[in-house]
Amino acid sequence: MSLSRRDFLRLSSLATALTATAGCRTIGRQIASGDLPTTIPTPPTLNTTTTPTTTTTDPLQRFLHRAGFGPRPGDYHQAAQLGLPAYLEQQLDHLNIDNTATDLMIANLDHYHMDASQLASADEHDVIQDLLKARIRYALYSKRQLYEVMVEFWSDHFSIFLRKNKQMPMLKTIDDRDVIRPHALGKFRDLLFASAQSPAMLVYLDNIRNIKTEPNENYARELLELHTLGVTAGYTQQDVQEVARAFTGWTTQRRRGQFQFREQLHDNGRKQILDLTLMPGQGQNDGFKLLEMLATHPSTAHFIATKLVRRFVADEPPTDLVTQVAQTFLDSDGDIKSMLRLIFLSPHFAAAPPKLKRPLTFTISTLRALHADVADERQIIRWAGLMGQQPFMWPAPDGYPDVSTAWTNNLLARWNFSLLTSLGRLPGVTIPFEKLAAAGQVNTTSAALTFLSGLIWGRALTAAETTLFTDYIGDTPFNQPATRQKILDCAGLMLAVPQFQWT
Amino acid sequence: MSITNNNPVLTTGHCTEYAHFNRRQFLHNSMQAAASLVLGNSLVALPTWMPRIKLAAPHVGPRGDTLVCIFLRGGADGLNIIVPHADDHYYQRRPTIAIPRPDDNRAEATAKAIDLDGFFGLHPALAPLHELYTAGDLALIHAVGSPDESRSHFEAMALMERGIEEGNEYTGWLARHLATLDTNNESALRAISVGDMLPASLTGAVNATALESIGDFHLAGEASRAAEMQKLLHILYGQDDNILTHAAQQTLAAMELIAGIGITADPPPQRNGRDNQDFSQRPFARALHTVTQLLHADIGLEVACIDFGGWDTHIGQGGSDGQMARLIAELGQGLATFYHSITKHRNNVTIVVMSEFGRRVKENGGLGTDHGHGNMMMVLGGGINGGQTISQWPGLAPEQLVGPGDLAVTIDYRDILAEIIQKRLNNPLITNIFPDYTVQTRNLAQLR
Repeated sequence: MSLSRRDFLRLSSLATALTATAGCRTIGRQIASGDLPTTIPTPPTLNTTTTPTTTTTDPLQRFLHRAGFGPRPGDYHQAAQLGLPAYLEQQLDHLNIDNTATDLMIANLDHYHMDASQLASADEHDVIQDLLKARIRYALYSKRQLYEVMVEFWSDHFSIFLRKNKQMPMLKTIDDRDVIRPHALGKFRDLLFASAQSPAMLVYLDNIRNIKTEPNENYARELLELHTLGVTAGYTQQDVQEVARAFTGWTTQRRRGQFQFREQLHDNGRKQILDLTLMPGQGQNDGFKLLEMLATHPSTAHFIATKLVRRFVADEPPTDLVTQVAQTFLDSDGDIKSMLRLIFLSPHFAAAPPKLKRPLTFTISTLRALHADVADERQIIRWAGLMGQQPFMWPAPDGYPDVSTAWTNNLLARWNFSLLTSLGRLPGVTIPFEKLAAAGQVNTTSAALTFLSGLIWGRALTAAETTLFTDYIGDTPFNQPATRQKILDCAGLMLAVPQFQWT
Repeated sequence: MSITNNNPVLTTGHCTEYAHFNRRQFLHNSMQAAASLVLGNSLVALPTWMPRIKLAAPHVGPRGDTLVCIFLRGGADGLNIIVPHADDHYYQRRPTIAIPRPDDNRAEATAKAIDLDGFFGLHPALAPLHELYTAGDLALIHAVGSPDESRSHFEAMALMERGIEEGNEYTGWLARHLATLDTNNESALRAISVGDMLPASLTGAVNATALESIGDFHLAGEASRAAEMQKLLHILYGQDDNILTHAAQQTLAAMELIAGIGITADPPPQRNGRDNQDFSQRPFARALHTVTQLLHADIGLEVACIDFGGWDTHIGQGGSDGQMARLIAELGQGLATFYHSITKHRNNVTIVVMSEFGRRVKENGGLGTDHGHGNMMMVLGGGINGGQTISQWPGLAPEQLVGPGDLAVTIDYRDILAEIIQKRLNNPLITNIFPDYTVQTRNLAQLR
């Protein structure tokens, strides 16, 4: 629920006053917890004879689950009043979405805000914790949901493994703040240039060891294969070696926190990469010219378009949509918003096949659906790990897999996370069922089931589902604790089953 | 993979039906679901763009050994695990971290290598394995490895676990082994990995389950209501036929099997202090304990994968004691305890220990070692020609090293695995498992 302008000003001044204190997190949580519609409408009765097997019965639902980490109570109805095109524009204009509560909750993550020199002397474990907590809090609470999803998308595209070495938590923290977040909804070129000069990337892909006398191809290869052209673009091993030469001397300052170009380590000879000739003596401009060529290359446009369509539309991206998005990339100078607009308003998105939620999306969407208040993220981070997707922990440079087949082998962890969350047995996580029930005007078992189904599945129950759950609960009175427990079991089951795993 | 919405409508009839649903039907239905997901052979159906080796029709035959595949993640330093104590260059290049010769009078008795054959010796922390070696069950292989010289963990593991030399093949070597061997084994626990994800070697396998521990492989929440909840899960996952519903049936079947074994949850793992030499509560020993439980339960386990991490010893590696010695002790104790716990299964179990690469011969400025090339492997089991260290030792003199100063590879790791697959696992279709490679056997294993 968006705040009125007056609320916004009041909260902003409050935020300013409290930012320096440890209490801002609490204030942020209070704002977020209170941000619940006074009434939550009952979902309309289903007028279908089949049982929907995904949470996305219409494009707007699909948008909330794929272009965000799932709806909070009331989100769907608010977005529906605007309609998908207007809601999309609102999400694309992310800087004009008030995010006070989230900003307050991020503000007290000390290590997430440290500069390079402070980070260098901080405890590695603390740095990791605050970076992961920031990731969880943003996903969980931010009203800029599409932006957060794009932050995740680019964090995978320019993937960096947090446990590469002891410096990586500090360097990835800087990369998250200075590379990914500023450009996640900007121009691809800016992202690429920032990433190429990111100490985290230079260390992760060993470009700091790439010097004139001993070229290291690691960054060069991944730059072509994973960041820009794609592996099928037709470049050769010779091209990879030439790219490596172009980036010799791109390194970090001795304490690693900042980029540095060291001319004396750079190979200043002539280089030829695809159709691009780099004349001798160009120094750091070799790299800039090369990045410019890659940022505007049709293969890059096609590769980025393919990945975006795979993420938002289908595991096997429809080629005609990919072609259109790639053309938009070329026409708009790699404008990320223009590509997203095309994708989300396309008929392909409206009729997209089901896609399995990745573990982080599943985890966060569970908590969002139930309006969870999270006092401690550690259990969430732990369970994301048990499900196989702890943020920034994918060891390879290709990022967490983005196809449904990669994520089916570990369902028990998803089931148990669902059951423990709904039963309130996840330390640090509270589900305000009483408050939710009040907002939903729930006072019978069947009303509770319909209400939960609306929150979780975004629809009413079918008659068969109603029977299944009411049989499980039995006919004990609604107010008995035993009945309540079984209703919570049913909420856990609704989270655990395919309807909430597919989007 | 698409999901259709034209499924039978969920009706209360299903609920009643479930009441009579027995385990055999359950497995049968799971297998039907599985059958609908295979394309010509039993690998999980994958999108067409994913590279996949074309497999022959499966070989039909009896079950062989259960294979326990232990992967030491991070590049374990084989030169300090199986010590080439008769090679002077070993001592010249490792003045600080070398393991003293068996006859080194200046060294403490407990610090010396345990001699095996006058040339190689075991790290002293592997003393528990010495009796298995002399008993003829443990074979060691040295200067073994993969042709890959990237010295990158990612590249080396990816290629080794996929059993290939190059390219981006999607399926793993163990998945292809399982897909090409039909043992008429419908167990939901035919293949497991102990951990949170399947390793790349099992990617693409149909009957593979990742589990942390048997005791924990059950529904959370209220125990008294778990059976009822499980029924609901079964029904709610029974409305469709796709990769997810198949995985759910696999999980439910595995839970049912495990519940039948009647093992309760293990106590939570404990962290050991620096001086504690009891590793029985550490994840590695607990993972092996899980395998022991499954072997005793006799529920059709054919492949078990265990990851053991922490071997990337760039700094402060230590020698006879120190950081890596503790890992080695954990490895040795774990293996020995496991082997003693499966006495009656020994002739039907083969254990392999491997790592993505070895480490630089010369110790570095941080008293550790950098990424190298050739390494050691261990193979343990009743059907193994143990008591020997198989090696074509390339030597450690400077001119004998490869790359930046690494042990050469003179035996391909695929020779070792292929001989086990052929002789112990009863699968002759090696070219499907290790494509484009000609295997050379090493008299490592006896024919079952």
